[in-house]
Amino acid sequence: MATVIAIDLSVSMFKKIKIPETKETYTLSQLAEHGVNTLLDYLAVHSKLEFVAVVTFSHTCDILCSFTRDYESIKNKIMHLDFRTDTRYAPVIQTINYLVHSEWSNSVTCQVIMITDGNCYRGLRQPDITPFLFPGKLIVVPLDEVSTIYKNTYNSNKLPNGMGYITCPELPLTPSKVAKVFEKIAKETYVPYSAILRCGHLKSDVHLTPPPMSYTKAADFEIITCCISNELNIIGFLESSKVECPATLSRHLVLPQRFSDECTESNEASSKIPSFCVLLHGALKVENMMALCQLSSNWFGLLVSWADNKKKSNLMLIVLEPGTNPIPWLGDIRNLTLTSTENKTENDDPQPIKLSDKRSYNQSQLVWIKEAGLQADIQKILRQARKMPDKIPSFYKELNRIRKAAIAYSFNDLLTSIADLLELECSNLPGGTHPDCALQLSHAAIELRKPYAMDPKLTIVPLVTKYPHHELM
Amino acid sequence: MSIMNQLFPANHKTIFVVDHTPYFGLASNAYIKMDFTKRPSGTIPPVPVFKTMWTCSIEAVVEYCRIVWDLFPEGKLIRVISSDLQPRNLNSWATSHQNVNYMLHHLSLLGPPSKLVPNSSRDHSIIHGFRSAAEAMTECSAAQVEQGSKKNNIEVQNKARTIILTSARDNASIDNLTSMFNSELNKVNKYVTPPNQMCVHHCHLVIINTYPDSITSEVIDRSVHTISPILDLEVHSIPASKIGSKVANLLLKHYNLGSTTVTGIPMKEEQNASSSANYDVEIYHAATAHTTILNANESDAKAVVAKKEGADYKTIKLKWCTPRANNNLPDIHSCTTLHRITPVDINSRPSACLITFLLNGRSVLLEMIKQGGGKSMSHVLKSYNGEIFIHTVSSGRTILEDPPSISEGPGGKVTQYRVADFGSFMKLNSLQPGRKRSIEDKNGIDDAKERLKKQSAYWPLTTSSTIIYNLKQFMEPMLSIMVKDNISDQEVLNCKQCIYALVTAESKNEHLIMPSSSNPRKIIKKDDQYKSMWAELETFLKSNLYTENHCKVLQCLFECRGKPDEEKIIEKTLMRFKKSLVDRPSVIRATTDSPMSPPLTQQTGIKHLVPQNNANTDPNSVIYLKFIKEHENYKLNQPPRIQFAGRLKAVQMRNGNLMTKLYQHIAEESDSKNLK
Repeated sequence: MATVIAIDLSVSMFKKIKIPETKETYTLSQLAEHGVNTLLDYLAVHSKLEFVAVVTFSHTCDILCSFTRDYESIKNKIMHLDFRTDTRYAPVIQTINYLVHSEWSNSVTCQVIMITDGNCYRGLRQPDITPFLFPGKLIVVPLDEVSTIYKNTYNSNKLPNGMGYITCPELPLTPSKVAKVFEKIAKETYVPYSAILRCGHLKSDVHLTPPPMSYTKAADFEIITCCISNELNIIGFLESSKVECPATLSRHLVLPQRFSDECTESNEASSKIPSFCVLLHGALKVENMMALCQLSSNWFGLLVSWADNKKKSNLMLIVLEPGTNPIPWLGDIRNLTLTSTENKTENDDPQPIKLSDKRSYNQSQLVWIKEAGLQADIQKILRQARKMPDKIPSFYKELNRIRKAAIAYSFNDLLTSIADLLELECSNLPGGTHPDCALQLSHAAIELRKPYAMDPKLTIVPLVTKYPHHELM
Repeated sequence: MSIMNQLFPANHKTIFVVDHTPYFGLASNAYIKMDFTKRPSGTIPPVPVFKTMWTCSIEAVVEYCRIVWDLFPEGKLIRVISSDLQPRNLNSWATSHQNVNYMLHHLSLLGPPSKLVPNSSRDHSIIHGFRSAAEAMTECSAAQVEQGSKKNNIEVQNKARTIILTSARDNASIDNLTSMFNSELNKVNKYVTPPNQMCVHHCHLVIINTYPDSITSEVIDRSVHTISPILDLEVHSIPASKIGSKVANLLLKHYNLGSTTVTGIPMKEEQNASSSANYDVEIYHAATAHTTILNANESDAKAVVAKKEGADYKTIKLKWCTPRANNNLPDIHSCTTLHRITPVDINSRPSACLITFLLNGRSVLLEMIKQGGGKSMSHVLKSYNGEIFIHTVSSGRTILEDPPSISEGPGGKVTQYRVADFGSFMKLNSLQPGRKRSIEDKNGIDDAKERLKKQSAYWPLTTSSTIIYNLKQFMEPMLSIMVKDNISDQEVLNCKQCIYALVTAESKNEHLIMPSSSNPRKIIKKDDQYKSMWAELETFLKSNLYTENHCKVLQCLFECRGKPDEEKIIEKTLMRFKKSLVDRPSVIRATTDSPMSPPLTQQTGIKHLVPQNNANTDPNSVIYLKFIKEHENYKLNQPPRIQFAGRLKAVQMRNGNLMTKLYQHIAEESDSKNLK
């Protein structure tokens, strides 16, 4: 997962507030900085793999810091922020879309935490605010001395289009209250996802990083919402070469969990207790195989050994498209059966699934919408016509193919036209041509002109001649 | 578009109503030159051939079907109805009717429109097809029936699209056709009979008005507008020769398709095989394959989007990237989406070449040329099982960058994992596509889970925590036999032989594990080796009691070890089997010879023959082995019949004879009476 922090630098954010008890004064932007630091400190302990980027905005939006895991450098960069002009939200969304897209392409979940003034209640509901183009949520923390009037007008902290929500600190504002709200966000957002990895009786407690998200998709008849259950049930194994490249929704590291009594045991001790997860990883890596596992009743994933570089390899969960047919060439997952691949001969290998119908490009279908398509087909038979008697079988095969298509499209005139062409071809044959060629050409032309040439059940067969040197079809 | 709007798309059911009246039999003035052969100058070229309006229309319809069914093998249904004197359904919603070959066959049977007879009184008209189309829309598809029976929260909406191909005089006649269609629709909606019929909730009507190229039409195009709450209308007026491209354009909208032009495909010239020229091939696929490109940097997106020549849609140009080796594919991790493709010009030579290349198992990488001239790989074309797909490749950075190694985490420092054994476990449990479509409700997933459970009932993770898995020379084939669902009598015998071999080894005082010279300290004493081996073997056998035959192997271990079945584990398991049989009375007859046969015949029978001598024979003695041998011979020679009930109950007398007391119940009764 990745996080973008958006900090408002409009003039209103530099308003000073006084803390009654301590008589200290802070600007709202200092409180914002305090909040961000709290969040970063939480990540440093609980979610070290999180990438964080920071953008600042007012009238325009700038990228202060691109995605990094170096939280200290972020802290340094947000220390000296200066005010600019007024707040506009549309450019922020655009810039974040661009930032996330250029960095992660698509399919990476990204949280956006926005710190702004009280105007967000209204500002983020304007029609020019478009949803993010990547999966993720917007969490807005408004810093305002007094409860904003807009809050009452909109009566809801939910933002439109499922964009996210607004969560404000308790009033009056103090650094600790701001810290509290960020801590709450951090705890709710960066929850480690615990699951049990199971293969029959073998199991292992694991964490998934980044945490898997639920997935919603509109099918033709229902809106499918899937959530990963906390049990990853292996249902069998596949050779990597058979799986190839199915569509992947997301990828997660599968890290074995420390054993429950971790307080008493040191890291060192825990690393010496055998874990099924580690065994599975080793075997998948050695055998170059994948484990197919069930994530919830209708959702599946693949477990593979994956290495970022050659040395550090890890177990990874590849989340497939929900449904029972996420890998079309393997067919419905419910129809897969466990079989032993050992002591099996090559030709015993069952073909994936038999397609009920071949695709048009995998069979000889004729499309003549464009003039060139038909002309190419006719040229083809004319080429073969000249090479008869060698090409007798292919000539007649091609001729019948065109005839059948012409019949289906009710393109009657084509047949007589082809007959004309064949006769013309016959009359133009050069001197040394085999006599059978002329015989076959005029035979085909005659057949094409007969009334029953339009009968789909008929097949035109070669003329039997006294030249026995060719095999008839 | 909100997610709710995507539900119940009109493209689930499409109906073409095609004019088959004599007027459509007229030449369209769309002609094809037939001038192919060299001929002496001055001679007349062969006459061009003309397509009829019917040919133009039906070609376009078939092409529409071809593309849709190539891209969506399931769930997008099309029906074609021809109309002349009467309507004719060329296919139905049934899956077997949803393919181009079926359609072509039925078109051949239909034949061309009948000849135009001036002043004929016969009533040829497109209108006849309207009722059929409306009825077809009310007929539920298999998917609709299934959804209807599911009782979801959302009620199934029956939305459909009808495309009429006809020729109208003017705008007023189009209005006329529309109102007639609307009234037919309302009529059939009143008389639907569930569950196989369903009223039409909405219909998108597209009228394509066509005419011979030589004349002009008074009918003007109309964009989508509402006619009635259940009917939207759209009108296109187009000369016959252009129906093909018009229908293709509509198709892209109807199914939300995108067009990609693969540019710069190097191809050998037909005439001149030594030189090669570059060609472009256009393909269609679901528009979502382009989302990544279009969402990216705006200027980069602009650089690849181009208007398609001679059409009013856009295509995205991606450059062919000659594959160096076949394995330079991006790995599985970076493919984010997957969509079927189909070539637009299926007959053209460049298309055919690209398709053959892909079907032969090669893959093609597609590059996006950015505005500044930079390149990035964005898609991959690849075929699987005779179908070609386009993959979107994620080019971005991965958030899993620099992950911790698994060896640094819990369990990471353990070196004695049984990796090779788990490798064979995986190979033993490979998933294979089912040869036959399994019967409904039969769920392979649960079977697979069940099987994995059995295979892993006793499975130590490391070599140091097991001894039996390190003694394959003794333990096989027992280890692999016992985890099976069912084992044959012969397999029981094989397992027993493994046990006997161990007994023999122990009696000869052989080393179980050869002491390794590298680490002599680690050698466990021979006695301890046997002790832990027998204990582990017992655990293993106890974990795998699935049938009576499985129990027999454990029984054999107990007998060889001279150990009583303390926990009565065998007895309990057998009781459980018995009970489960009783629970399923209908199965009994099928699974056992006779419900009356005593389940433990052989064991109980034998018990009296062999173990009696255990008292004065050492389990390791030669005599003991002799008994075992005899026992085995006895078993082998024993005819497969049910033991006499009397012999089962028999008690061995001191002289070795078996004796059974007859009429025992009478004796018991009298005993109890006496007691009273």
